[in-house]
Amino acid sequence: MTRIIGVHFPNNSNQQAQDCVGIEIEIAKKNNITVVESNSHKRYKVKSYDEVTNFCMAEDFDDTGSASFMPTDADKTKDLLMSELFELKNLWFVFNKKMNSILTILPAEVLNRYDMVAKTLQTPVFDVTRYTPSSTTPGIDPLVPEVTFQETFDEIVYKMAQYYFSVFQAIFAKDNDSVRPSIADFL
Amino acid sequence: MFPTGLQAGSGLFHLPMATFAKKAGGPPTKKAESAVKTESKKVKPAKKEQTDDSEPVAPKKAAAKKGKKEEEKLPPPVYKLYTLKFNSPILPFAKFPLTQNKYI
Repeated sequence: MTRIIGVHFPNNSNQQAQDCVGIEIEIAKKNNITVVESNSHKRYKVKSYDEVTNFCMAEDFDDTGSASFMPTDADKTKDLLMSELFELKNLWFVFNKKMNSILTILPAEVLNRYDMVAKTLQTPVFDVTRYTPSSTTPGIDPLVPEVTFQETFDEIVYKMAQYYFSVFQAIFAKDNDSVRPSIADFL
Repeated sequence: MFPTGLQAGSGLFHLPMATFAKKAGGPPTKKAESAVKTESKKVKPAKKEQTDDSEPVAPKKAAAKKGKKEEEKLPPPVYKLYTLKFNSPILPFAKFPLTQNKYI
């Protein structure tokens, strides 16, 4: 099988495929359940899309622009990102606490759905040592692919965003027929 | 990964005629010879500039600028990828074990 990207076209329209940004994904079947997962931070911009074959021509995409505001020194960059990571972890706890307190006022149907989704989602790991060693770390295993600290930081941010995105999508998705009446009643 | 060298406009189809003539083994045309001559003429002044020690900074800068321009001119690699369409935006490191819950 070839490489696969997952991408969302505006309004699900193939005509608006150009310049959409997708991510590299992997598809596997575990226990008769199709699992779609992304294990890369790389993104691709679609240049053209063939709706007959479902293949697209895409090029690498990077809009982080980190060089403009990040220090050039690697140690200073790491210090700054470590500080940001600490803030991110605090934000995670505060936000979860507030969300739990706010969700209690929602209908039981929504709460049940939130519980179900939250239990199945993987929470992001904020401990940097549990990720692939940084390329700046001496004595790393040469078989392990080198990953910069910034890529690890990006991975944590993406995972955190994905967690909340999945939660809100599951609860408040407009095509969610079971939740929509409850939300309407509540409003 | 898919090599994209055969893409139109990627540079493969823009080889000068002189190189075709050389590769084919045929006699070089007058145009080709003149092109080669002009290239060699163009190269010579650059060598002089590099050997000149009076202004070491300026030529280096110029070379660096040329290098940058060449890098900018190079088109980014284009990949042919199978596309899976999602109903909603998708982020890197996303995992979808909840396919039964209308995620995709």
